[in-house]
Amino acid sequence: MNSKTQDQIEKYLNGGLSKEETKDFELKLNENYEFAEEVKLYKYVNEGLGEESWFEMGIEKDNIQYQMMLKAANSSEGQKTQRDLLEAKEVYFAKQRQAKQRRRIYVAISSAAAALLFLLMTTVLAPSQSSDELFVAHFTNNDMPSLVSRSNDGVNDLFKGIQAYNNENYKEAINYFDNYYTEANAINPLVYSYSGWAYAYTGDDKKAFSDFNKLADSDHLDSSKGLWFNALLHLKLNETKEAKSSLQKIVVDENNFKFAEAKEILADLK
Amino acid sequence: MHIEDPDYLEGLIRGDKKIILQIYEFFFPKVNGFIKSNKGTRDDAEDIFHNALFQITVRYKREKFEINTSFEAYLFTVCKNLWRKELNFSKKRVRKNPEIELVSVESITAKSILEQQRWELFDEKLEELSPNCRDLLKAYFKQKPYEEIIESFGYANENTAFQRVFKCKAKLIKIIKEDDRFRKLMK
Repeated sequence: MNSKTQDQIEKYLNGGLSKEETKDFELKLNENYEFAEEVKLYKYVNEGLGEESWFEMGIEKDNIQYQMMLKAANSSEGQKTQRDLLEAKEVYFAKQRQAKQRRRIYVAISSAAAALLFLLMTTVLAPSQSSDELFVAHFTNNDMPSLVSRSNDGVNDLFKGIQAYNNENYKEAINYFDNYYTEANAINPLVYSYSGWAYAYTGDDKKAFSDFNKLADSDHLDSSKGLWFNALLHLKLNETKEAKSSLQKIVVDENNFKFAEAKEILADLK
Repeated sequence: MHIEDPDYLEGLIRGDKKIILQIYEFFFPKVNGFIKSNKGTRDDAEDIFHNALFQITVRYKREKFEINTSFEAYLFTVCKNLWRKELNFSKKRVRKNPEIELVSVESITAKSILEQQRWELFDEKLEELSPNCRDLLKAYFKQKPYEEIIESFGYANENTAFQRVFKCKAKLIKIIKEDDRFRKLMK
């Protein structure tokens, strides 16, 4: 095929031919099967490999490969595969729903427990609390930062990540935050609060602490939030010694986030 | 901890429920994220993920194939292509195109397998081009502006870049047609 024909094919596919040229081109398409096949291949390659959000591959029903795969999908083995996969899908999403429900119940119980604890502390008993009780009593989503981005880099991933986090889709949130950390020219260190807790909720405590430490080590005005979250996660994990160490770093400066609460917790832990 | 890659494909083909659940657990969130950020919903993501697993299993049982990347990357590509196809279908549905007809899941799966095979042939052949042609076409398919292409590849002007894209694409079409799979997949 010469370059003039190729030029015409590309122009036709991109809508770059005049009305008259299009008419002639389509006439040739109808008359010349080989030419029509060539045009189709260009179209499929352009759309398949292109970054369009969609593509068309025009599968003919008499294609032998199609017939063969259709037969395989319709076979009893294919039908069994379909049933097995549907069953696995049901099981997975049922578990997800149950877990979500459990988290809601846990939050409700935790809130009730925190309220009861507060009542007991301020009335009769005023006992010292266990680490995880302290976590429940002191952790609140209201302490999560509100984020405003100063640039457009990765902004989509950032807000989708926060949205996923708020919807308790922590793994999804982690993916978005990872994209944000890769794409953004300047990372807002407060985002580590979200990714840190997302890791904590998915059981990856090591990465959670790493993110809280990144926030604590940053130059951000609210970097001491990293120390606070670090301490809370240690409390959640019943690691009292490490929690105390983080809390002691908070109480050295009264401007630090949760300075007063940190002092109270340290007193409770004595 | 993730298990080694070959076990995912093998487990899926065997219908091992434990492995299939792990596939969901480890890989669904990324697909869900992709679909939700591309005009889809969580329900769409659930359907696409299931259809991708069905597609891979039916195809493998009929014709064993090798995955040259990780299972995760392959599954993601299949899901991405299925979603692109679904967007195309939705676009036609919105336009009330008369071509739209009710088709069975099996028929959709068979078509998707063939489309995936065609896509793999195109993608594989793209990788076989000379490094310059391959990188140029990748930039072109990513719809990078010609000004950027001229600068990155050191072409004199837009016309030179345009001609080079033409030649590389002609070469790509030629090697696709020369591959044994071409006739089986395209005819």
